[in-house]
Amino acid sequence: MGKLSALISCLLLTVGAVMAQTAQTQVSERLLPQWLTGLIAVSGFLFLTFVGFLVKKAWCEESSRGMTIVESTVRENEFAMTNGNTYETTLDMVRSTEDTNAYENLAIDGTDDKVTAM
Amino acid sequence: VCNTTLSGAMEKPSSDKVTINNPADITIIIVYFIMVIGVGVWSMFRTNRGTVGGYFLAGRTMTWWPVGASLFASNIGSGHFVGLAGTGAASGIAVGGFEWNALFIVLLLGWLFVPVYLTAGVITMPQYLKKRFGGTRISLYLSVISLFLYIFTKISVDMFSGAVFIQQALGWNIYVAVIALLLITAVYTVTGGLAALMYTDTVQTIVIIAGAFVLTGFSFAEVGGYSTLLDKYHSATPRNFSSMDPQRYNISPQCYTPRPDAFSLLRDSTTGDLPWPGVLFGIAIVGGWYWCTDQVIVQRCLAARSLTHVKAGCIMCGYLKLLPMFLMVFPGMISRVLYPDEVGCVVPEVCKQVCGTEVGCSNIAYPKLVVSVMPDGLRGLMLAVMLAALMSSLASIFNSSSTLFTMDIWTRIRPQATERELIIVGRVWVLCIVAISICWIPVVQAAQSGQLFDYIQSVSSYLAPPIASVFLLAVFVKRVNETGAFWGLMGGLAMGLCRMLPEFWFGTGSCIFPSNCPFLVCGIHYLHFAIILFFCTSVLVLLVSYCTEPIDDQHLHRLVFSLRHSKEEREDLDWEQEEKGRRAREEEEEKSGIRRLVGRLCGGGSGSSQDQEEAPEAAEQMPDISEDPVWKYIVDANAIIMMAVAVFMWGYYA
Repeated sequence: MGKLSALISCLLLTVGAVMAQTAQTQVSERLLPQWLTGLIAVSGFLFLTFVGFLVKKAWCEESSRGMTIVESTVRENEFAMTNGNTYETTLDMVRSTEDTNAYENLAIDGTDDKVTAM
Repeated sequence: VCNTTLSGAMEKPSSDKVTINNPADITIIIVYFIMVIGVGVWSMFRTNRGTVGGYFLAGRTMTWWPVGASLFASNIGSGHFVGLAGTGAASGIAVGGFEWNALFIVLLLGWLFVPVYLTAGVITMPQYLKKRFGGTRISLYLSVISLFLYIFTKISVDMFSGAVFIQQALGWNIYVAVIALLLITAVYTVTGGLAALMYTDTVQTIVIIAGAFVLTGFSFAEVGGYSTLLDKYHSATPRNFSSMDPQRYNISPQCYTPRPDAFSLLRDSTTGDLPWPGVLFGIAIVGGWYWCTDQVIVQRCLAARSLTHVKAGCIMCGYLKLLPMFLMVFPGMISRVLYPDEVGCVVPEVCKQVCGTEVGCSNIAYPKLVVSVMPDGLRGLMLAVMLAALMSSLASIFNSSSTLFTMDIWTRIRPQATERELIIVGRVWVLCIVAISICWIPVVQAAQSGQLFDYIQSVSSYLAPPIASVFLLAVFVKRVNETGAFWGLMGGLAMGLCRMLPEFWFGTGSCIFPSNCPFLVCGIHYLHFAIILFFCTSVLVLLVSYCTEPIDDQHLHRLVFSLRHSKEEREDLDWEQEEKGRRAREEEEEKSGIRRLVGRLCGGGSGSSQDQEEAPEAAEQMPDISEDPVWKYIVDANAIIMMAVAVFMWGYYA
């Protein structure tokens, strides 16, 4: 995207350079030496590329900031649900749903089993 | 893209033609042919040409340098040598804008279009449109018009220019020379497929650049240097400039005096012969068609190993495209300075004596240099260069047109065709198109009034912009649907024909005998017309698309730029056709074993069951467009450097 806008901008810049010369169509005089026109065009192009690069970076940062906002709200909700203290484990957290007198062994119920390969 | 105003120059070559009959020249030519055929044969053993992917896409194993070289060699044909030099002689350096505009377009190809084509998993451009929009009418229209444009613009330009060179510089019999060339080209195209083409294109590129550099060096030495050229060009007028028949015509000074803005790329928008908005935007649009949507060029990118290789190849092609201005346009201008009475002739009777055409003799600019400036031995090298340019372009066009015909038209006629049959049909089509090209020679000879090149550039500018517009919108705008694209193409075609047919009818005329085409039809410059046509088609496409129903996202995964990275399952809009084709192929296999025996005789290669397995397997593995981040940064940085160089050159010569 940045490259496309840089491309269009550089074309517009060349247009600008031409407008300065369309007054003299009969005589091939030039206002500036040729190498200078070339250098000006290149510096204009590099400047626009730089601007495009910054814009692209700002765009990406905005979209990734949008993602981090979503993540932090999810974490906040979790925070609220565990009464603000994630490190305190109360008995209620491990109370089994099937039998009120039994307690879940969370380690066994963990999904990632560590199995040694045979 | 080589769009140039040229006068035809055929028959009755000038008296100082030199035949290549000394041992140095002949040795060089023989060595050249041995090299090309050798590389072609070697590459045949490198890739498997038994499958469709192997034959038409070189197995997708090409690295960046054959891709870049093949892009350059496929583009540069003998038409460039004759046309760029001739137009440079006649009107200055602005024609080089066609080449330098391509520097940016080729980057658009690598960065924007090829990722989408690669993830779509297509082999031909009509196939891409079929997947993107569904239905068959758009892809059929595109195949037919592409084949038409190949025959009428690319093949005819290159054959005509090759013929001019052969006649002017060698005096050989045109039929013998052209048939021999075409047969040699056909041999390695038919047998080797795309892989052979791309490797031989690398050899051709080296030959073209080396030879052209040598000629440029000699030409500049002859004329006395770059600044001498700048001074002397403006006074390169012929001695005979008064009319021999004042009752019939008068010759105004502007017909034979070199243009004052000859050393400017960007010229006045109303009085210039190549106005600057046209040069910047019109050429970009036609270039967009040529580089980003045309089968010949895109096929070479699809044959690459990975997206990074594509991008690197595009950058290499871009750098190489800086050279034609210095290797062809400037020598053309030098030719006019050195031989103003022949190259710059203006009186019709004189011109007819010099090169056989009354309109003008700027076409002989390059051949004249080869004959007059190059010493013995190196003339053979220049002949090799012209042959290289001619053969590489023609071979690419043959191969791509055979791909188009096989994959889009033949599969519609016979959906039950197996892979082996497709490859055989592809090879037979190349022979057919060689025959068509040979039949073009009398047409080319008959077009002695010199209007051939005007017609060719009109055809491109009036027919290509709608295609470029539809492809651009198809890749970037999800909302565009089949009805919109189809009616946009039809509307664009109608508009283009409205301009093209009257202009053919009235003729384009020349400086001394201007044509009486009314201002309403022919007044707008063809490049400006291309811009207008592009925008009108885009508006029409968008209008009709927004009035009809959209295509769902599930049909568009990996077919548009915004969804090119999505990994979800895509419901192909052309799945019905594919199913029908697969079922027909299966039925075919169950039939008689006799047909299988005959097939094995003609085709060779593995059994058909293996081919069946190859087809669904290829469909399931999605082409990968991920890039190694290190290489991605290197390639992107290189692209910016190349664009900076291009901008400097434009600014220097603006």
